[in-house]
Amino acid sequence: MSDASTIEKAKSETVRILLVEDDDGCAHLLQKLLSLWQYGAFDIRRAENLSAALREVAQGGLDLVLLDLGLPDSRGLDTLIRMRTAAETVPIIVLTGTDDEELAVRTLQQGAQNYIVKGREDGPSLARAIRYAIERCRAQAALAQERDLLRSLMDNIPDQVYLKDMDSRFVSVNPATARLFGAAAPGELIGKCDFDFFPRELAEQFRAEEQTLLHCDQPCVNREVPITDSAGNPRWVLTTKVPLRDHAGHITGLLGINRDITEHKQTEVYREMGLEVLQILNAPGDLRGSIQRVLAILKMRTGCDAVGIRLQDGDDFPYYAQQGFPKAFLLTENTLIAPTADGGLCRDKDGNVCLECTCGLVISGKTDPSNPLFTRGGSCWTNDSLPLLELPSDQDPRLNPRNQCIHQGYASVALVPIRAQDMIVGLLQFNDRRKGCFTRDTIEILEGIAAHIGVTLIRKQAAEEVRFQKMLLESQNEASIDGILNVDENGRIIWFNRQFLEMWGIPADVVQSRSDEAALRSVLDKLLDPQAFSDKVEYLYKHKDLKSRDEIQLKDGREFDRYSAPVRSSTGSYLGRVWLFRDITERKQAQKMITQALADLTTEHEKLIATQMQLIEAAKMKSVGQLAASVAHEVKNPLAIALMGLEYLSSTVAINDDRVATVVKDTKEAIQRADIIIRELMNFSVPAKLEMKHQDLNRIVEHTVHLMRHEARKRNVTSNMDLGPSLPHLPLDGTKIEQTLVNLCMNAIEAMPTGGTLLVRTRANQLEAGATEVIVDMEDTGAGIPEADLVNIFEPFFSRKQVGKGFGLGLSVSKQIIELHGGTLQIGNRPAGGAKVTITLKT
Amino acid sequence: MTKKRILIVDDEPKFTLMVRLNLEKTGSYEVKEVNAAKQAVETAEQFKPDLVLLDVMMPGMDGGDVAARLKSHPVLKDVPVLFVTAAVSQGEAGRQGYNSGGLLFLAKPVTLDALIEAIEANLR
Repeated sequence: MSDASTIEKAKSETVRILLVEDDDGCAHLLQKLLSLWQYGAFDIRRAENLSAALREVAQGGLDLVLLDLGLPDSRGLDTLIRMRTAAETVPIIVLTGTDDEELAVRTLQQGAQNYIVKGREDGPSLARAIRYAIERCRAQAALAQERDLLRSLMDNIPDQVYLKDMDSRFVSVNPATARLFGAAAPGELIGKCDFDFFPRELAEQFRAEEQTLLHCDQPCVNREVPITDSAGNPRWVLTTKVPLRDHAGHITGLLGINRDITEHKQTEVYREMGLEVLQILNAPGDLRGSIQRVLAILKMRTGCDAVGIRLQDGDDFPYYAQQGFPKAFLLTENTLIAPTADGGLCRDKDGNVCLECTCGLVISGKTDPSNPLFTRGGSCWTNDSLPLLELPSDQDPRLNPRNQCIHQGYASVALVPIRAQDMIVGLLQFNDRRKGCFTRDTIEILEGIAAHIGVTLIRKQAAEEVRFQKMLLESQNEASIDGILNVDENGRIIWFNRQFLEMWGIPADVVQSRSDEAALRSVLDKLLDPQAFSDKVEYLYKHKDLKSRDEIQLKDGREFDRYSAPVRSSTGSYLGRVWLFRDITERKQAQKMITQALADLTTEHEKLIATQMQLIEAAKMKSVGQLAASVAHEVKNPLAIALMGLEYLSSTVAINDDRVATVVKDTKEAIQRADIIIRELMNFSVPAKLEMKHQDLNRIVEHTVHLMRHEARKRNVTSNMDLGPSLPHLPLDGTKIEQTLVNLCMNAIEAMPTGGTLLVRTRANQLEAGATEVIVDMEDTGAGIPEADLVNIFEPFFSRKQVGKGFGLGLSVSKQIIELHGGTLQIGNRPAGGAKVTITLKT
Repeated sequence: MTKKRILIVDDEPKFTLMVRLNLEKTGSYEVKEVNAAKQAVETAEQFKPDLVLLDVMMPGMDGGDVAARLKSHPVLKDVPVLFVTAAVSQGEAGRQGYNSGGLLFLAKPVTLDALIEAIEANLR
């Protein structure tokens, strides 16, 4: 502040002065002197004793006190001291009556701004003295304020500020410096040097640097220096050291400022760690391997005693991987699920499984970001966990804490949630027994790392899922009984399974050459119709959307089912075609066999139906036979009466009358005809059961022919036999077979009314599989049977005899008897003329 | 020449009458008719026939029974019996005839010639 401005200011301001003077004369004089001051007004108030003066001071508003030391209620220096105490900031000019230099100096030492010897000062000099005193006091106050500012700056600044002398000994240090060195007060450091605090090597290095600086004038600005603090923890400081100079410019010492950049450096380390982790996560490899490597990096770089990663596994979040946790800790802390008393899972009202402890809280995402224990990112961290044990439960922000981490002595704990697509799927856990391992910044970096892990989880799990699906698909395809071939949109082979190679027998060298032409050639060589095959292939490659299924035949007799369908991507673009070949040879053969079996079955069924029909017919015939037998008796008695009556009449009446003779003859014949009919009806009783006995068919034939010899001779028929030697014995009902043969012989004889030859032949016929059949042929030389009648010759009641000569039941019954024996009876005409009956019986 | 005594047993009176008339007309036979099988043995004891014509199927007692009684009768046991029946065919009758003691079966209706031939063949 310049004098001019001071004067200007003085002019504009009224200076308020308290004049403490008990002597009226002296007081008047001083007031008069001051009133003569032309540069400004003085407002002077007067106090006659110290008590009054102190009352004035207490009211405030004073710019200066003119103080006489000799007052009625106070004397000497004591007066000044009491005033000084009362008016701390107001400048005081002491008025002395005597020229006492010694007292004057003492007043100055006690805080007076100046002293004036009464009577020696004129007005202007007095006024000037007053103004200077006021200005000096103001300047002193300002200086004190600046000094206080500086002091408070030095006391409160986190940087360590110190002054050292030329011998590198501390001259002055601020409290931060004292804290760094573990001193209770800055004063303890004065006179000490780095050797008292740092390891010798480090101290020597510092001293050498400082000596260079002091003697060579080489300041050191913003150098990062690793040091170890009083607790033995490594720290990083940013050091600036500059020389201090006196007025003459000579270096007298040095000013040092250290800034603790440990956190900053730690953050940098964490950032680098984050990059390393990212590289690992982005590198190929399976999830577990990646996570293990990440965990190793996290443990090494953070230096934490234990790191772990919990990942979701069903309802629980056990450690997916961990390093450094004690076994006992893992035993209890691997699971976060709280079991209920009955052994179930504890669930909240929404049905979600309750997860315990702070890990559970972080995973559940229910952390309170307003609490300093938690971050906005949902992490929980502390650099000093022990006090958490002291918290009353209503103030503990954690949920169901187990406190195992704390009991294990982990002071620093960080729990960082791992998110995957907005879901918390796990957490990163960092535990260290040292305090203060984390900062907000490092936690943020860890949150970033956790986010990367979350993204990687999704990506790697998806990749592993794809890999698994692919593996599954390939193993399925390899295990398939189908031969599978995939071709691209140009028909080039992309993939095939082993079955494809095996069923087509594609040689190994063709496979290795991967030549599509060679492979196709190898396939075509084996086909019955290679042209149709390649036509179909070409057609399908032209018509991309078509599916096809057909059967192809190979030269070696195998048959393949061929299926082809287009392969399209999820967006619908054509990727190629898949071919599936299945060997259906066995199926086809089985199909053929089944078809044959079905045909056989149908035949058998038809036979069965026929047999059934025959049985029904036989039953019918049997009942007809039974009816005939009962009717016969009733009819035969009247016939017997009528015949006897007629015999009597014929012998009684005149027999020489021709008409009577004719009547008698005709009536007799009518009775006989009725008798024949009755007899045939009675013969027509088909046995329900055969009485089988192994016997020689030749004997039966011989007996039959012998029986018929009279009948044959009567009709001029010659009967011949040609019996095969040593026929096998057959299971036969002899009576029925004889009845049949008699029937047939009778028919044959009757078919030759004008005579002829009846030939009966027997022979054995060796069949396959060791069976033998015995055949009886009966040939006549009659007129044969008209073709039209051959169809229904076996029908019951069909007769070719004249009415009255036969009933038409003989052949029908004969056929049924033979068939009941499991044989066949056939009737046909001989080329040479006449009919031929063939009976075939099986052994 | 004494007439041969023929006993005919048949439940059909018209048939026994016709047979009697025919046989008597030949002049060689004396015929007695019995129409109830139960009376057959009693009548035979009195009539002392040289041959018995016997129906097989009769109410009350059949021809077989009657033949068995005659065969076990001390006096009549050697009298030949001829079955005349409507029950069986010729073939059956033949076989059964042999089975029942060598006697011939005749099937109804039978001609007078066949009847007389059979009677004469079996008369001693």
